Amino acid sequence: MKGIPQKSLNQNELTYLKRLEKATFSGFEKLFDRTTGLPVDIASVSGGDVLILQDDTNYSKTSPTNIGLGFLYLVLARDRGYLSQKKLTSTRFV
Amino acid sequence: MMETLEQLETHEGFLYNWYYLSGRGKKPPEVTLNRFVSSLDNGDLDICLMATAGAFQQTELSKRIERFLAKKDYHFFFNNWPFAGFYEINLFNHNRLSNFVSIAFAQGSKGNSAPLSEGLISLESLKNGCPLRVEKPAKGQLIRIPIKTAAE
Repeated sequence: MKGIPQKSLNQNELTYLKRLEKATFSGFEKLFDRTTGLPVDIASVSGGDVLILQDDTNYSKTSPTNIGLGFLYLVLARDRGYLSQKKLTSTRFV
Repeated sequence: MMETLEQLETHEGFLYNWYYLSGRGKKPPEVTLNRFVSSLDNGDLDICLMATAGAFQQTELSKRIERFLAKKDYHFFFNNWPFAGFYEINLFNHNRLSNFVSIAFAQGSKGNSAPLSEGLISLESLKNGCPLRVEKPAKGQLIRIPIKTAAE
């Protein structure tokens, strides 16, 4: 990009970013409610795990913005190779 | 996800703001007790759906998204001419996405309302985040959009 100093990332930085990306997509996938396939608004995180509070109506809810981001997840996860065609076409996701 | 989305209770095609996910079994998620429709959230959703349909062109998913979007008419979020005589739209926050969606849909006149694309053409006002008040145009005339800054 014009005017912005260019810097190539070294292998360690690339590896770190790849690991971060993988963890992000993995975490996002866990935000989808198992029954409806819709993403939840709030989830607890404990010990690196994402915990959906399935039986708590105060937390287990969703909104149009959540659902919209859920669809963007589908697009990005497919483009980045984190979602197989088989999984993509499953009822839960699509 | 799309199948559930199609089953949700809506108001004139727009989603309510919150749906319970838990304890519903196979039934579609139910609207929460606090029932309201948000232009902000529906704008967010529809922008994302439009992007998804673009990414999955010529698929069953894109066709279903198009059918879902076709049920919406963003006039719902704006004052109607006969009653208020003008549009009054708060563009200070990110509900302006809804305005862009309205323009993208290029929805035509409905009843006595002017096309939304006419009422929202002031990119300058969008850029500046100014409240927008549009006077009712005479038939066949171009619309006039006086801009008021936040200081006014």
